[in-house]
Amino acid sequence: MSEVTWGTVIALALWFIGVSSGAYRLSALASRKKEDPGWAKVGLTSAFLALITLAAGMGFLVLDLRQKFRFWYLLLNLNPESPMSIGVWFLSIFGILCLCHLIFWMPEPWRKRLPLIGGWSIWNNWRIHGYVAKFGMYVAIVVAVYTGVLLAATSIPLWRNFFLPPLIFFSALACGLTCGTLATMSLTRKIGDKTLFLPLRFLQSSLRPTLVIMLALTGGFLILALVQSVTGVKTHLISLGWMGFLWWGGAIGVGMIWPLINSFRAEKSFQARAQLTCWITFIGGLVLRWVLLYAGQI
Amino acid sequence: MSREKKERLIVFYADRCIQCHSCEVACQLENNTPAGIRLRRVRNFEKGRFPEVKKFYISSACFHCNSPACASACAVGALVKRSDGTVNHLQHRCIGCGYCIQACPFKVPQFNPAQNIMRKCSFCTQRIDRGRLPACVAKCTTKALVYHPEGKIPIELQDYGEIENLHMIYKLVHKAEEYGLPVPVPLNTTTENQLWMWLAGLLPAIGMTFVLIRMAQKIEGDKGDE
Repeated sequence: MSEVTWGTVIALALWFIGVSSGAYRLSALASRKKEDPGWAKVGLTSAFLALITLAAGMGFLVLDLRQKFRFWYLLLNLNPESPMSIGVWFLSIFGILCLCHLIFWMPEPWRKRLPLIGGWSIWNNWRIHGYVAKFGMYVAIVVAVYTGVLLAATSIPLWRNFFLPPLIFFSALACGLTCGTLATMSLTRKIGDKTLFLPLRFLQSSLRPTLVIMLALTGGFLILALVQSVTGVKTHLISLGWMGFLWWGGAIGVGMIWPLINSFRAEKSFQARAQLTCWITFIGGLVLRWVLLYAGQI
Repeated sequence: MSREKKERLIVFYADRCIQCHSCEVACQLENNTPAGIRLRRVRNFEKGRFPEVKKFYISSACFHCNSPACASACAVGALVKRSDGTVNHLQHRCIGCGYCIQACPFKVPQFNPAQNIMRKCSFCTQRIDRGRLPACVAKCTTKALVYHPEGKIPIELQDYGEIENLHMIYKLVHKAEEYGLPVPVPLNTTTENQLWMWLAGLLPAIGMTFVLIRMAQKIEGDKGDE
């Protein structure tokens, strides 16, 4: 058995960054429909969530460094050959965009309380908010893909798989969409809140193709890993034993198949089970990253 | 194959190694590494069945690759490829992220818990820049490790690492696999694969984003129809 260099802290970091990117995209989509009270709630909550989870993800990344107080060295260098260096720069840009996007979403009384920048008139300009949301959506895509490329561009046989970056992206999307909706549902404190009708309908219809694609990508990932002779042994690791149980039961069963089955239920039935669907998709995303991270290194 | 540049090399002659571990000890003393961290390591292998068992040894360290994956992966520029072919580790810049460990196809870099940074063989650049031999070569009792400051050695293509221009060449007695060396010599996957990995991730991601935007518009339209 080899030493595990990247453990649970990195799995949490990758997961939080993925959630942030997905939540931002949900919020950016909601910014096109600010007039609808349901979308407005989802937009504001997801914008908050994107910033908080991004801060948590970056915090975990720093926490994993052995020389934590040298983290700022990352911002003094740009190595275009290093996925980590590219990713850190995109994360920094994404952080600024998340903050701006949140300020745009804030109700005016909240915004006015912000020191220095709170009084700027730019925050009332919907057109600029639209541009920030749109540009941020593309940066969010890069950030989500980065968490996959970071692993895939290494020499670890199990991770060196072309299906890994898209799989991690779609998992991040599912986690972000569900996390944003879940947080909004929790904050409204009314499960049957009719204002959330449209966002929940969107969640149901978007979760379905996302999970189907995730399952297809997982299949592709396993097949490609199996045909590569060195990786065959590692694939065996995630197929059997306690890690296999987490992979099949946790990441695939709970994180993909169960929410997919739920998404095919009738609209009203789905809305009643939306919280559960969100939770299982959300947790499944973490299990997926954790198992992939450990199975690659053991 | 001849090297165009005057690059520094260490050649290991497997038939001369007696597993005395002098190179290991010299390396530890030179680099002041704690027990458990071995930048140079002598490993032994066995072949055959009793009573016809053959034992053979290899003294391994960083290969100082021509295109080092560790230097490509390092986000803070702590690993630097020098013009003399060696890959130097700037300890004061290392943040201890561990990405070089994941990137290195030979799994050479190791964490030094005493310093909280990664460590790897630096080819004793602090010594060779002053005209001295690398510590491991200087202390090798049987001349199994030989230093070639100008990269001129009687090279044979079957020597492990020569075709790939590694700066640690192995003249082996048995097959490379039997010494636990990866065959073929692995490439720098960080630079080789990265572009394709980005494309594999970004193309479906952008496509899906457009699908989501359309989906959100459609739901809005459906509501209007109702």
